[in-house]
Amino acid sequence: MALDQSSQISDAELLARYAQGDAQAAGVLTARLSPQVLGFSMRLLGDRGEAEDVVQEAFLRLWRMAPEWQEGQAKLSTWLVGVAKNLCIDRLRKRRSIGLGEIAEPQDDTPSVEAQMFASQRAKALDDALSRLPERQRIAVILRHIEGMANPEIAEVLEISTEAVESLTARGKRALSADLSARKEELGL
Amino acid sequence: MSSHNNNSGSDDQMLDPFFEAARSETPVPSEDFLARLAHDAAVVQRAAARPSAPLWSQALSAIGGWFGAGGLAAATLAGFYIGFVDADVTLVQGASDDLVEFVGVLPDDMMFFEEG
Repeated sequence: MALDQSSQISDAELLARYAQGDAQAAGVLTARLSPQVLGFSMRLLGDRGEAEDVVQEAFLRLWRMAPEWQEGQAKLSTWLVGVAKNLCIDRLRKRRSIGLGEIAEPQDDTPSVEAQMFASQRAKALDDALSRLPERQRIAVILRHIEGMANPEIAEVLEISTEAVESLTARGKRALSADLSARKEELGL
Repeated sequence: MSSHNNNSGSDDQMLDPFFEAARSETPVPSEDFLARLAHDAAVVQRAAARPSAPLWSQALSAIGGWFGAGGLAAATLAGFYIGFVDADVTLVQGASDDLVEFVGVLPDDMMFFEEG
């Protein structure tokens, strides 16, 4: 089963194939789902190495529960993001108990082209502003506006109502806007 | 309400370039990282594919394997033997305090009475 042939197959079907012993289904699933979970975890943790560990653990849990997965119970991507969210929050709380000074700075792989440099600086400024938001607002804004998830999916991840998600994202955006408006000029806007 | 919507609209306008920049920087998983995920998946898959032991084998190992089963059988036989051998003398406390009956079930069905 080649990767391109699998593109029409749903995530749940791929997981079922994995559970039945299909050796390639896992590769297709990880290629398809890991970028989003990795991006989300990196934005929450600000550290690629830690984010990779979180994603690895989330996928490990997925492989273990594959035989029991019921098609239609949830979207696989939503389930993975939910697991990653809990793992990230655990790590963030441990960090707080260790002390803020030991938190790794987000990696900055700034490309040299000017336009890309501005984009990268904006992304960095946004990451910094996001890190100052309350935890749930930050998660809601990242999932809605960067990862492009729908409000009902975010509600599932955060285990709250869709209305509460709307309220969280609105408050989060208001705080981000206030935080970033002073840096517009410096960031080429 | 309309003020809230206006605020929300201006927040979106203000933040769009930032969100766009963040979306363009979504990390690409490295080959090495994908290989780690694939390795985990293969390990779990192999473990799940390993045939589970039949029920009798699981029960046998629960009582300590063949050695444990041998001990259990010996103890059972010993229990039966002791039960049969001691059945010939059974103490029965009678209704009267001064009468104790020893009721024996001997091979020839003999019965003994003793007056206290």
